[in-house]
Amino acid sequence: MRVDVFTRAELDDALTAAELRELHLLGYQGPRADEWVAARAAAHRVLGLVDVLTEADGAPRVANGVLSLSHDGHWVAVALAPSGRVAVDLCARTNRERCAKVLHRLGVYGDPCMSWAGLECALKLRRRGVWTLLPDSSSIDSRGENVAAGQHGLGAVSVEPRGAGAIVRGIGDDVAVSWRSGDGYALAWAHETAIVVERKPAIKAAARSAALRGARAHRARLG
Amino acid sequence: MVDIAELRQLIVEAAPDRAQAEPALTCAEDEQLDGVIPFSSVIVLGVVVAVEDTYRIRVTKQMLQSALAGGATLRKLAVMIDQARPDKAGAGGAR
Repeated sequence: MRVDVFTRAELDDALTAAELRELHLLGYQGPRADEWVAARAAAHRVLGLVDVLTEADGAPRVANGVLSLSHDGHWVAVALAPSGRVAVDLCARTNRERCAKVLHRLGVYGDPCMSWAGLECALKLRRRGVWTLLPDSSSIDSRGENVAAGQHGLGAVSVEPRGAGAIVRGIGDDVAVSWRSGDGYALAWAHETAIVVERKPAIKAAARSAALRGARAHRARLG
Repeated sequence: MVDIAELRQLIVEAAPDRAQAEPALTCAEDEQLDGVIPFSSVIVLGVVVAVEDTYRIRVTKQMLQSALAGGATLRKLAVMIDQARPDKAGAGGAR
């Protein structure tokens, strides 16, 4: 796999016809549209001017290979691999305090930006929503306390530094992420050559079915 | 009902870049937030933390998943908070 980081200033805003059409259909405006375009522009720097479209869950897809995109502050990160599943997350250091606050609630400690990038990477790799990090309603008692964890947070998610990366536990099967600190940002990435098929409880299977129906409807609208 | 204006402010304050999140101050209540601001995971969880602290509720996985299904809007978030408030919550909703 390869991972590249670009500054927004070095990217143009050229889109393919299909990307322009998708941007229109998505209805993104203002800063959100700018971000979406910048991510495509970064992908084009790596892949050439090919269609980088969007799955129903927001993940990018290309015709050849697998791709992940992340944007924060002045930067856009691109991770590309020939097959399997890939994830990248970039966290600007200016987000340090906000990330620390959220991570404290989750019971995750260490470098806030590195830990956050690692967690996001795992969520992307497992195609899980951010709600995965919150406590299950069955673990909350009548006073609203989380009986499955300590005083703070879920306690079921952890980011354990290991070598030049970390092991993220609690988001499906463990995810091995690589990470590095850049000038003004933390970057984490992960790649699995084989997609992990997880046995999901009924509620998750139902949510997945809904997501698949949404994806089909999304593709039908674009088709 | 939760004050939508207060919710707008919570979102802007949870965003790393206030200027980028300012469209949340004026967008329609049913407009998808992800369409007007970069409603990234760190903002979503920042809003969750702020909502928990402000309204003294506990947001669970199921509540947030429901609020984000089909795209989060101010109205959906307000409903989520209302349903979790002590006078309306079922088991596990309030703290």
